[in-house]
Amino acid sequence: MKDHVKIGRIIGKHLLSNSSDEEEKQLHYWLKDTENEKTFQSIHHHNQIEQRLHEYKQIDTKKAYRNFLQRTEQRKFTVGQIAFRAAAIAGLVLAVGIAINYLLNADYETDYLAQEVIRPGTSKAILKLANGAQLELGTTNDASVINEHGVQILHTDSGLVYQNEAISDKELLYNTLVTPHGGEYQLELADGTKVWLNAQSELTFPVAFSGTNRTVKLTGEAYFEVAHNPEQPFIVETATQQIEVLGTAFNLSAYPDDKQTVTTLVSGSVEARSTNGNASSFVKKLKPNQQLIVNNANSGTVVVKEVNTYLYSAWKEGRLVFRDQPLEAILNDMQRWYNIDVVYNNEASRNYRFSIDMPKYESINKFISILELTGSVDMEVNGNTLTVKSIN
Amino acid sequence: MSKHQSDILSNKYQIKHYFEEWFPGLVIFARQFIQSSTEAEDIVQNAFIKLFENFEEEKNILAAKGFLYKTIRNECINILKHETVKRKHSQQTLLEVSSETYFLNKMIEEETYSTLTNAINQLPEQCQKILILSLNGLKNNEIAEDLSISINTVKSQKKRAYKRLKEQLKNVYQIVSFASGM
Repeated sequence: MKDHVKIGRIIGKHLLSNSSDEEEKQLHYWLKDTENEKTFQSIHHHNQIEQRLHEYKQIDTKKAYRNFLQRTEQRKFTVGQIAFRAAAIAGLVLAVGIAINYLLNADYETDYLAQEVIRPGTSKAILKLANGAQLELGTTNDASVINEHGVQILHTDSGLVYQNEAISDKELLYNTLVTPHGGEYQLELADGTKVWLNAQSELTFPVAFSGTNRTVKLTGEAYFEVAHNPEQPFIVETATQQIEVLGTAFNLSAYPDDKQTVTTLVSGSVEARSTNGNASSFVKKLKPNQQLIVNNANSGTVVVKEVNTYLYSAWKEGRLVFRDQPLEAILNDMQRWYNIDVVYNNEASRNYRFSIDMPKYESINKFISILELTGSVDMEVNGNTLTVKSIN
Repeated sequence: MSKHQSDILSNKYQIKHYFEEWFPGLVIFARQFIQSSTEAEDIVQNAFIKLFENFEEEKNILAAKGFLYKTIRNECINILKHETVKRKHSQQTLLEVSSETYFLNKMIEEETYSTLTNAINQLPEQCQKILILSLNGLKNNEIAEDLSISINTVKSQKKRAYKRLKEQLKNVYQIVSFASGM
């Protein structure tokens, strides 16, 4: 059935002389059937486009949508009640972001129009060159080239790309990419490895790789797509761990102010080992879809579990996704992305658990509405401070 | 939560966008089966609610739209069956409109028209007029005569229209492929 929808769209584009070569090919193939040919001719010859435009104007879509919202809201309410009962038993407060997204339209948004709006982060970072010089990077429409001791660095609207140059054995030069609060940045290293650096993070790396391994240092969070090279293992160092990979995609969250360092493997294989040499030293090999959680506290418990990796890499696809996470963990992330301070009036609320899936380039008000609509927290924004208030 | 369900979350988030873009076309589609506009609008709204409740089964946006077409058509046929007796619809009409071929043809036709309509609706008025006449098969000089403007204006306006449409339609496809997680 979806093929019929698709072919309809292609015919539309064809009639507007706006179809791609691939689409023309599909259309041509579809038209070989004489019945299809008839359908096509009838659309082509009984052109009703004028009539359509007129008819569209007669239909009150806005009103229909309001009606639709009301009806889904009523249904959502019943679902919500059941969920609430279940949540009470489990001692959790569940926010079902899915249903709540519906409530976020027009009516709720207008409440916030009068307030000042806290904007989400954007693509920005600072590049520290080997000689100590600092470059501010933002979105750019014009590609430019930075020359770092003979190594070409391309600066484009999708981030930095280090060109792979043959280098002599001389000492490695290191650059550092720093994202501020509310910043994120993309980078391609000289070996072709792709890195997405999340907000308030720092990555130090050589401008070209030589020697027996490829080592970079991370504070904060990054997603890595490591270029395959078994001869030269890729190693990410954090304050307390080394993650060694051959060629793989994984997310590593190592914020100093978080309680845990979390490695999530999407594909390939990695080996993580502790480097801080205390009692809880470990070496762990991960399989795809496994996650390693190491508590940063001294006791340092180590857990490996199966996870849905989408939840941990969605940030690089432009979404904020949390699944049954404590409010504190969620707001720690928000702090970095929206550049806000968080105050808890009600200590217990730190442990309330929520699920959210929303685009990350929205103003903070959208995020707040989602949480508030669950009826379990109340939030107030004052300047750059977000206060979580008790609901009772 | 599987990757699959996550895609759907992002679809659900965009439901307002899709509702507004699809609703008028689907109402017109429903009217290919039943006469009453009010009834047609109700049926389309119900179909959206059904989609909202069953979205988990839909893999992407084209499939979601297919689901809507099918739901609307089935509901229309149900009503028709009831009314065949009451409103003296001939048995033959019912047979014709309940055939699979009729359904698929109307679906393709509607999808073509909503693609055209949504794209053209975004253009400035003058561009719209020229494009519609051109789609009706008129030559540039005929369009110029029809609208009492010069041929050069027709040509330049047409060029502008196609350029804007290109962006427009590209955009439509981007949204689609994003939402379906392709």
